[in-house]
Amino acid sequence: MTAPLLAEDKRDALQEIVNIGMGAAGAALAQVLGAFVELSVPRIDLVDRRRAATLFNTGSWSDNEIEVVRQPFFGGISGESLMLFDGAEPEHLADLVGYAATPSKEEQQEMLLDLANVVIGSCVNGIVEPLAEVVSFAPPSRLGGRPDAHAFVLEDVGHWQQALVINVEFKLEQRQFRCRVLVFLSETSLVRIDHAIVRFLDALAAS
Amino acid sequence: MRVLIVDDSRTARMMLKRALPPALGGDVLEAAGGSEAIRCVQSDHIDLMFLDLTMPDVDGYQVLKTLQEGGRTPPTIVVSADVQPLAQQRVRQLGAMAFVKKSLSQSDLAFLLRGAGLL
Repeated sequence: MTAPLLAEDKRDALQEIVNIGMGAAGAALAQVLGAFVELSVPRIDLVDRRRAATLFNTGSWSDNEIEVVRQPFFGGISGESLMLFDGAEPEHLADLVGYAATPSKEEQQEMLLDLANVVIGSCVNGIVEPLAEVVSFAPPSRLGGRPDAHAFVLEDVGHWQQALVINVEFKLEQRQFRCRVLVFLSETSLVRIDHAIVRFLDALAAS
Repeated sequence: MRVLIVDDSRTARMMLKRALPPALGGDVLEAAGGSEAIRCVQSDHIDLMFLDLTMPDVDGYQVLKTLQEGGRTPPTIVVSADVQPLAQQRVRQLGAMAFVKKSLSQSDLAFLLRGAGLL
């Protein structure tokens, strides 16, 4: 099955809704870390299954190991969220979160799960709430590194050929910390999102 | 009064335009990015600018910085979803008069504009 494409006006509306959601997520992350968070402009791409590996190309941090946390969400709109952390120098993050300067492996993982929970929750709620939808979240869990995340996306994120993927990067100013959130919207959810955006635009036109 | 709305999203521009009080809705220009906004301010007289922060070409911070350096910042209200306290502090240092969270209602906007003496 091929994911339906959103018409241009609906896509622009979704982009704006996503921008607002990601802004809220950036603010939530800034609050947790007590530092200024720089956000990239969120991208919304229709991604072909054969090119799924490109989602894990991390540009300037591509040589570093990454740690990936997943958190699925369910409801009228459902999907999968992945949060990619730059695995280099976790003590930078530990310092900000308030852990010991050299956190144990368990502490590092707990820290990443906690951060993913906050950021993914803000991102996804920021997207679904303007569309008058409600979702529930499964607990976040660690996926592993880049190969594990790629395999997970191919084998476990539904039987998709194309998926709408929201992609945003957060980084801290003057700190060695970067992360990326990928939100996969399921094909069935896209139909519901399409209808919700129509209602959203109708309400806007009537205001 | 000539109003400039700067946002890369057409939906966001439309939402803001609809939230404008009738007194300000008569002469509204739109810019879909930071570069266009800077050109617009440099070539037109703008009485009030609404500015998004996160834009792909030139972001809102850069727009403010460029206009501040040129001494041409019109009264500016930053409209953003990025509500970090430091973001608010920075845009004020760069010459913005107010910072409001997206999406703002008609009544909130009217209250803000009245408070700023623009209504």
